[in-house]
Amino acid sequence: MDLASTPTLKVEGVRKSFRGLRVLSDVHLELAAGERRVLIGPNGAGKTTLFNIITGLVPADSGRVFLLGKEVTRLPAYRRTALGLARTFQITALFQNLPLWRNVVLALLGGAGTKFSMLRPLSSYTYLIQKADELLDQWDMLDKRNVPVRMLSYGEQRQVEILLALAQHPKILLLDEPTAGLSPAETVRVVKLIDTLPRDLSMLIIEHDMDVAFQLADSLSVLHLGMMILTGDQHTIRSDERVRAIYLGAIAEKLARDA
Amino acid sequence: MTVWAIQGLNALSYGILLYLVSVGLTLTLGLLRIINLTHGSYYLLGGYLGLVTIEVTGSFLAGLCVAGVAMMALGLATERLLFRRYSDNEPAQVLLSLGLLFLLGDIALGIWGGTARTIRPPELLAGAVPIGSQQFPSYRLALIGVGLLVAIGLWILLERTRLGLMVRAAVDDPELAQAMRVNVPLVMAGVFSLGALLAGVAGTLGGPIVGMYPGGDFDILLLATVIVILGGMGSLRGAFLGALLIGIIDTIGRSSFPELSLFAIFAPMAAILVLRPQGLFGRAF
Amino acid sequence: MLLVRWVFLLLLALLVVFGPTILPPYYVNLATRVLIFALFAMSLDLLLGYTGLWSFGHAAFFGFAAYGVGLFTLRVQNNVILAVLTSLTATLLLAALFGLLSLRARGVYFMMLTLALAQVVWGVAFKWRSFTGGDDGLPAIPRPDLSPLPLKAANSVDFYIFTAVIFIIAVSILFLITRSPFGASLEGIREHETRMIVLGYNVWLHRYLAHLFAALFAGVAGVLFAYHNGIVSPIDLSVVRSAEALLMVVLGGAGTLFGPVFGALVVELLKHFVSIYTERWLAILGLIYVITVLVAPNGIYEAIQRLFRFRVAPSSNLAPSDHRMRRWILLLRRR
Repeated sequence: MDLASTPTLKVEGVRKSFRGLRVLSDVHLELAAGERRVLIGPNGAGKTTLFNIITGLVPADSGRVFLLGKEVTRLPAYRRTALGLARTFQITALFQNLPLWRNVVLALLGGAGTKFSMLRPLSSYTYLIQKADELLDQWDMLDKRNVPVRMLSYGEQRQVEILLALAQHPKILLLDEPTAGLSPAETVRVVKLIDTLPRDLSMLIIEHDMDVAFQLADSLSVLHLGMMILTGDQHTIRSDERVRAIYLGAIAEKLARDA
Repeated sequence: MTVWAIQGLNALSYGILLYLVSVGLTLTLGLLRIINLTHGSYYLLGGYLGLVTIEVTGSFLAGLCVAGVAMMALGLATERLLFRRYSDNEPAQVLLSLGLLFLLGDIALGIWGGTARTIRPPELLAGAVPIGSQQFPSYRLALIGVGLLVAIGLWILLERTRLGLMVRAAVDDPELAQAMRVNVPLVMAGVFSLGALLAGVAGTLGGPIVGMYPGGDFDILLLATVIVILGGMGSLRGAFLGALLIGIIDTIGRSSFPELSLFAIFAPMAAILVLRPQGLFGRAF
Repeated sequence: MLLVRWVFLLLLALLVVFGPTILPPYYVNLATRVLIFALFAMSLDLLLGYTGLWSFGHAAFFGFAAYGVGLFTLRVQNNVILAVLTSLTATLLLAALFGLLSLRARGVYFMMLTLALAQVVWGVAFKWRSFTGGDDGLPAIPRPDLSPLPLKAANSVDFYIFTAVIFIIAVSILFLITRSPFGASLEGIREHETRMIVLGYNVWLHRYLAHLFAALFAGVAGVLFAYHNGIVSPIDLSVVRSAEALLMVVLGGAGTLFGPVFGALVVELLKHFVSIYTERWLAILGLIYVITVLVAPNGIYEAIQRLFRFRVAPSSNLAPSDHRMRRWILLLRRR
């Protein structure tokens, strides 16, 4: 098997229904190593459900998922992290009542065998705590290390969300609307952060903000009503009739203007 | 054959009584997502207050009214003043409602003493009706009738009226309901009061059958909780069927395995929950 | 500084072990009871406060272990080591089974399932008269022979010392567990289960292990209870016991480990003292619960901590004596 050409992520024929409502129909997706794909589509298109299926939080009705060439369709969610998968959530999923450093340590601990260690205090694992502090320092948050996360601003929390996902040096990163609810200044900051992430990290990003989408994307996939309409580079997407039809109104005009 | 009919009617009447108590609990747990263990007190105090009223006025109906209204007020007061402040703090709710349960139960013990009390059924229903070769108390038949009326009334209210639609919306998704201009706090207060009222009335209705005794609040609370869990939180249909089921198990259990009545209920419940952790009608996690 | 902390802890331990021995026998027995229930409550806190699992059936393990030593001592052999080992092993097996069943559920359903399973155990204890004595229970369990230890268990003071030492050992282990990476994982699971899953934690396994540990320590408390009380009856397995433990945890403060000790203290002292003056001790207990929620919704322990933090102003205008006081308080806080 030629590792260079093995897609880091492959989704094959995935279907999902919730209580009779078809949410995903025959979805195919392939992500190459280092590729940055933005997943766009109107609300309710099934994007987050697709994320949930890839990460294993929700089982697919049919279809298969492959991570780095290995089939993970039936693999429990917690095992997928060890294969290099990481994810952020649309609604911030942090340990709100715990201080920032503890959030990061928990993220690091998840990848360590020592998470079952019971008789040594956590405070004695200095390498873990140091690593956490280093990460916080890289993101200019070291001064807030003792602050409970719920006291951080929303923008800071969204950053921490990404920080936690990166803690275990993943190979595939799933970002669910990383700029949701952020002010323009914060959005710029987060986009810059994502942009400067290592190039060998494959990313699948759900995004509603078209500017951000086109800034970050090597390629885009359009999901609508549970169906994968089109995958292609920016130009292909912009000039496609179907895509325009889906995005009526201002966005469609924007697409046409910039094409 | 007649024995089965009698047993069946016994189970039905007891089940209906349990249903009336469980309605409030299932709505409180399912809608308000508040753990209110004081619910047992509504039943017990309702019974005692009904007893006192009947002794004073001689009217069973008056007893029912007083029990219902008093418990409705109590429920409303505790919801407004206490529970509403702790909507996200489960330990606080448990501690609070359990504390009230102890407090009210012990006050009742202090006032009415330790001997079990029963209420005499109204003159009209004091007799018995022949079923086959046996006699069956008219009161129990009337109870079944009243209970079914209430169940149907609630069903109509919930499924066929706009008010019911608002309640169901608030149960399903409080945030969305609020966005749809449903006055969720008002609905919650109303539901809470209704539940307490029904429990209080049930306390008096149960007077001739179960009676009031120290610990009666715990016993009914336990049964109601089992019913609510089995039937699924927030489901009136589940509460009805669950109550009937428990009524049957309890009645049969009492006659066949007298010392084991509680155990007879919990063993099947454990089995059902292991197989279907969200209850019979509850929503999956 | 570290040495000061260890010396302080040692002094505290000695105080706990030997302090109450100067009291008259009634109070020594009361102190023993407090420690036993404090241990029981702390074991529940591991499950409730740290892992976020509300168990209404924790007394099943407490009572099962109590019955275990009782039955072994009365029916097989009066050998404390064998009795305790057998009983605790059996309790762990029970917990292993129950954990598999109950951890399939969440939230309120978990509550009810744990209650139901505990009731099944209760039902067996209640019904199986020939084996368990039915609702009369197991009477006349003799105190254990504690040789080679220089303690005569029949003596209240000696038994108290024995209990206190076991208590301190158990508390230390529990403390280590909660401060360890495993304990941190449990907290994470309590705070945000989905996030933990996605970070690579086997949430179910963590819960299961926490469940086993909680059951084990409840079992230790049960063993001590059986020997101390001399009688074990179905009520020790019942929902009443479970609810009592739950209340001690919540009253003292869930998730603090030491909070439940305060909770146990309050409940047991109330039971014994208030009942001397009035029959209405349950009403007063209920009132205390209500007041605690209004005044200290996160439990007594947190309120005490807040009180101390309030007194210690982190500013430079502290008088020298205040500095010493501050060191004491910092040692007490142990965060």
